Amino acid sequence: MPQYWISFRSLTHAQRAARILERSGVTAVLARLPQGVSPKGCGYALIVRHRIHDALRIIGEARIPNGMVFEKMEHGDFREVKL
Amino acid sequence: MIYLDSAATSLLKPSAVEYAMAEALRSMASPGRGGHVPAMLAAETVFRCREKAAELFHMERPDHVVFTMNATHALNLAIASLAIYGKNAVVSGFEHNAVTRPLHALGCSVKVAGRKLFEPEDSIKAFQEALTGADFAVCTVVSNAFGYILPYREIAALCRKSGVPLILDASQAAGILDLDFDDLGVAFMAMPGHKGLLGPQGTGILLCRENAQPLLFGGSGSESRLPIMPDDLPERLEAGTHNVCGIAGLMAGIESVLSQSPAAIFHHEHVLLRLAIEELREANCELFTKEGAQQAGVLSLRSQNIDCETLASRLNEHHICARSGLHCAPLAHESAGTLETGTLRLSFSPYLRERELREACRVLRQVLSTPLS
Repeated sequence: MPQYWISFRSLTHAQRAARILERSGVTAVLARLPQGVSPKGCGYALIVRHRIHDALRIIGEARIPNGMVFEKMEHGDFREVKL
Repeated sequence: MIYLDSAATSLLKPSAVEYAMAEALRSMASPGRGGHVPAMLAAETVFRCREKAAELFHMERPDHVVFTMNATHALNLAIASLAIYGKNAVVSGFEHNAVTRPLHALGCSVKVAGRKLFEPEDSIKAFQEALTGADFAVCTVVSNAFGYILPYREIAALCRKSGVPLILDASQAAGILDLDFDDLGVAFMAMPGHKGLLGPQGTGILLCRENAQPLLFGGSGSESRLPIMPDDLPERLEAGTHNVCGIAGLMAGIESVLSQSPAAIFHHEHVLLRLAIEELREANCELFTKEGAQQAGVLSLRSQNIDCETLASRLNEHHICARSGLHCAPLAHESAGTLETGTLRLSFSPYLRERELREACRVLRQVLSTPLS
């Protein structure tokens, strides 16, 4: 099962998005974004395993600014994905 | 002890406040500083408090709830943010020094609108006239010295119509009046956490419609490579480590207000106000109230014979806590004609009981009728 990381530039944006996803029945886990994929440093991410397209749509409809979406590969690297 | 100084700080808190603070002290670190459990627990608590505040003030955006040290800090942030675009300010005649001193420090030109106590029509008319040419306005919702509830809805509507951004100082109103931030359409609303919201000292909230300029610069826990503060609220205005224990306590206080409802709290305090007026009507003092006026649970009085500081001191001997002087609001006292004497202020809380207030009034009547030795 792929693991997607939706990046956010602030903790509070990530928290808002997590709440909205939770209310929509999409499970998302808040985490720190690895520095290597955090262009401005110390970013946050929501880890989503299921319904990534729904998650991005819901976040977009709530107008919460999110950054790039990454897929965490089996060996631990992150690959940007366009969904 | 009978505590009648809740307009300064609500001393009596829900027990959940104390518990929440102790729990935060034991288990929480700092939000945005690490991804470990204590940091994330702190982050969750701080965000939940934002959500609770947004719920109480009918705000859609919890991220526009900014935590501050107190209402003064919140007002300084709001005033400094608007003064960048122009320094012509309009204020009501009942503002606290937390408003007038920042305006003075920033070199603002200040027009005072409405000086008549308990006369909302005067306040509305004066704002209407003063808003022409104004860059921004500041209005207290409730006078901290006299309990006068200003016509803040009408003033907010006038400001919206004139395109003048308005800062509401809700220091005496938060938790007591049902304030709808989104509906009022004001630029900012500032308040302490330790009065009507029943939280601890050292907490405050600034509700923001748009962005604002930071007063402090430093770590925000995000976008750390930037040499400047992040653009986004609330991080932009919250440099440095949060008062997590205070915010945890504030959340418990807000939850208590939500469970009781501001309307119920206002009703309770209004009943106490009517009781105090009735009990002191025949006392040897001047009461600052008006029949039919909109007044919160604050009653000021003065005696012709006894200085207000002496009155407060005599009450203190009877373990009754009330506040004397100018209440950091010389403008309000100037408006009311009490700048030279000050007043003794009695202020109420959801936890004050009628029998306590009756007893305090009995002692006060006795003190007022006793000649000074």
